[in-house]
Amino acid sequence: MLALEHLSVSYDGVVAVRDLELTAADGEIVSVLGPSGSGKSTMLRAIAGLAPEALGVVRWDGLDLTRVPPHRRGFGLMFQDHALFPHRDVLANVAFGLRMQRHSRATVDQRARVALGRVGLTGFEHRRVSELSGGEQQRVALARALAPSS
Amino acid sequence: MPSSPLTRTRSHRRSGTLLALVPLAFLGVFFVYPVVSIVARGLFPDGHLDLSPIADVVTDPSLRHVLWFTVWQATVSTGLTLLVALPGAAVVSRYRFPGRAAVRALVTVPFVLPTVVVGAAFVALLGPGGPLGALGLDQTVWAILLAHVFFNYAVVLRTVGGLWAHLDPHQEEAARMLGATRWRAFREVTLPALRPAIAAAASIVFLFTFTSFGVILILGGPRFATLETEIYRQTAQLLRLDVAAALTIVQMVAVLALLFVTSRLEGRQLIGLRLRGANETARRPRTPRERVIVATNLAVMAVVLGGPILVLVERSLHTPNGYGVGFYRALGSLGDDSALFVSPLHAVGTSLRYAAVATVIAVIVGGCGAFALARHRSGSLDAALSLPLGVSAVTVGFGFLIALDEPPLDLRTSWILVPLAQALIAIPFVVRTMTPVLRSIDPRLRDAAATLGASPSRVWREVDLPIAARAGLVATGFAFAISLGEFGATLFIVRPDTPTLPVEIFRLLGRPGPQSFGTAMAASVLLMGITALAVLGIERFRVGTVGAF
Repeated sequence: MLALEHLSVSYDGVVAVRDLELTAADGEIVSVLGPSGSGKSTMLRAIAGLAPEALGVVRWDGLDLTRVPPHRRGFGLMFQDHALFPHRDVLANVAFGLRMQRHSRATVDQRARVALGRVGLTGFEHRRVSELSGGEQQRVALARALAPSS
Repeated sequence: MPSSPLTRTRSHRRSGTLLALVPLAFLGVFFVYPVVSIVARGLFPDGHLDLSPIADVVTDPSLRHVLWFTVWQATVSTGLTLLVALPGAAVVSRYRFPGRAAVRALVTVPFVLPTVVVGAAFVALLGPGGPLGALGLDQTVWAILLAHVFFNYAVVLRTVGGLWAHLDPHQEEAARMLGATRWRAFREVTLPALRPAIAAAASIVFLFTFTSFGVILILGGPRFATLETEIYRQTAQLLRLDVAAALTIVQMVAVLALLFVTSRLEGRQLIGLRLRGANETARRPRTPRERVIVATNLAVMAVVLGGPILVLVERSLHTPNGYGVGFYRALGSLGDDSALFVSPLHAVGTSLRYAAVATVIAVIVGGCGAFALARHRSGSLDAALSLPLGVSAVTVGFGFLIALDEPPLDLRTSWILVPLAQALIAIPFVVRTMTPVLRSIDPRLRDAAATLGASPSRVWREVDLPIAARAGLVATGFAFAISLGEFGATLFIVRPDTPTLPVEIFRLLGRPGPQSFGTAMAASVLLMGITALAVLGIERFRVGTVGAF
C-alpha cells in the first residue's frame, strides 16, 4: 500500500504540492486529474524520490521511504517526454532496469524481449530510439518502466 | 527533514569542485605564473614599479605604428571576411542543393589548417612563380588580408549560418505579405535576428586576426609587424625582453577587453527567437535568380578556399625537372643546408611525439574542467578555462621562456616544455567541445536511470560517461590537430636541434633557392594531410552539430 502524508513540495519559492494526503491499496488504480501546472508530475517525482526538496512522508506498506534514494525504491515512472537514453538502442533501453538488478545476461535479454513484445514492438530491438515515432517511444518507455517488476 | 537525494546533490557538487581543481592547478602553474612573470618583468624591471617600458611602447613612433597596424589589419580583415562569407552563410543555410553537407564540411578545412600551412599556401599562390604572382600582391598587406579571409571564412559561415538555418522562414514571408520588399523583409526581420550571431562571429574573427602570428610572420616580411610578431622580434632578434614584456602587457589588456565584449555578445544570442529544425527551413533554389546566387557563392568558395590549397599541392609536385615527387624525397634528407640541423622527416617524428603528449595532457585537464563546468555553471571557472584561448600563443611562449627557465621550475632543457605549451593552447578547445555535450544531457535521463535502480555512481557510468566518451574523442582529435599545427608558442621555446614540423617549414620558407621552397611546399602538404586525418576522424564521431571552436 502506498501512502502520502503531509506531502509538500516547493521549489524556487513556488508551492507545487501542498499538504497532500493520499493512499492507494495494492492493485488499486488511482487517477489524478488537474489543470497544467497543478503539481501532478511533481507528486509523482516526489513518490519516486526525485524531488529532494519534498517535505512529508512517503510510505510503502507502512515503511517510511524518505531516506531511501530513488534507485532503491523499486518504483517505475513514465516520464512525460519519455527520457529514453539516446545513446542506446530500443532493447538496451528496456533492459536497463533489469541490468541494474544484476540478473544474468541471458535473463536480462530474455525478459527485455518479453517486455518489448508485450507493448507490441517485437522486431524493434536494435532500432535507435530517435528513429521512433512519438507513440512508439511511449511504448518503449512503458516497457522500460515495467520490465524490472514483470 | 533531510533526505538522501539532497545529500546526493551536495556530494555531486563537491566532486565537481574537486574536478575543477585539476585544471585550476594546471593553469595556475603553466599560465598564471608565466603571465605574472611577464607583468613583473614589464612593470617591475628592477624590483620596483617602473612604467617607463610601457611608456616607451606607447610613445615610440615605430611601436605606435605596430599598435596601429595591428588594430587596422584586424578591422579590415574582419570586414572583408564578413563581406565574403555572409552571402555564403545565407546560401548554405537557406538552400538545399546536391553536395550541401560536403560543402559545409569542406569549408571548415582552412580553419583547422596550421597557420604555417596557410602562410605557405599564400606564398605559393602570390609569390614569384605563383599563378597570381603577376599581380604583385606578394609582400603587400593584401597577402595578409586574403590569408585572413581564407582562414576565418568558416567562423562566419558556421556561427552565422548555424543560426540562420534555424530561423523560421515564415516570418520573412509574413513581412512580404504585409507589403515589405525582399530587401526590406531581410533588413527588418532576418537581420535583427541574426545580429547577435554576426556580432559574435565578427568579434571572434577580430580576436583571431588581432592575435594572428604565423600568417603575418610569413607573409608580412620585414615591412608589416603586429604586436605578436614584434614581441617575437624583440625577444628573439633584439633580445630586449623588457620591451617584449611591455608589449605583451599591452596585448593582454587589449585581448582581455575583447574577450569581455565577446562573452557579452555570446550571452545575448538566441534570446526570444523561434527556432526551427534546419531541415524545415532549407529549400531548393527555385527561380533563375536564386540559382545564380547559389552558383556564384559556391564558385567564390571554390576559388577563395580551394584555390590556395590546390596551388600548394601543385607547387609541391612541380620540380625543376617537371612534375614529380622529388621534393617529397628530399624530406628525408638535410639537403645542402646544414643550418637546418635536422631533416623535415625527423621533424615529423618530433611533431607527432609532442602532439601525442600534449593531447593526453589537454584531454585529461580539459576533460576535468568540462565535467566540473557541466556540474555547476560557474562564470568564473568558464572564464578561467577560456583565458588561454584569447591570450595569444605568443604570450604563452614568451611567458614559458622567461618564467620556466629558473628555479623553482626549471624546464628549460626539458622536452616536456613544448607539449605543455601546446596542451595549454588546446585546453580551451577541449573544454568548449565537451562542455556543451555534457550539459545537453537531459537531467531526466539520470532520473530515469535512478528509478530503474541505478545508484548515483552507476548513473554516471551508464549515462554521463558514454555520452562524454564521444565528445572526448572529438576533443582528442581537435587537441591533436591544434598541437600538431601550433607555431606561435612553439617557436619561442623549441630547441633549435629538435624543431617541430611547423617550425621546420618556417625555416625552409626563410631560405633562398627553389629546392628549399619546394621542400617547404612538400612539408606543408604533409602537415596538411596529417591534420586532415585527425579532423576527419573528428567528423565521424561528432554528435549532431554540437561543439564550438
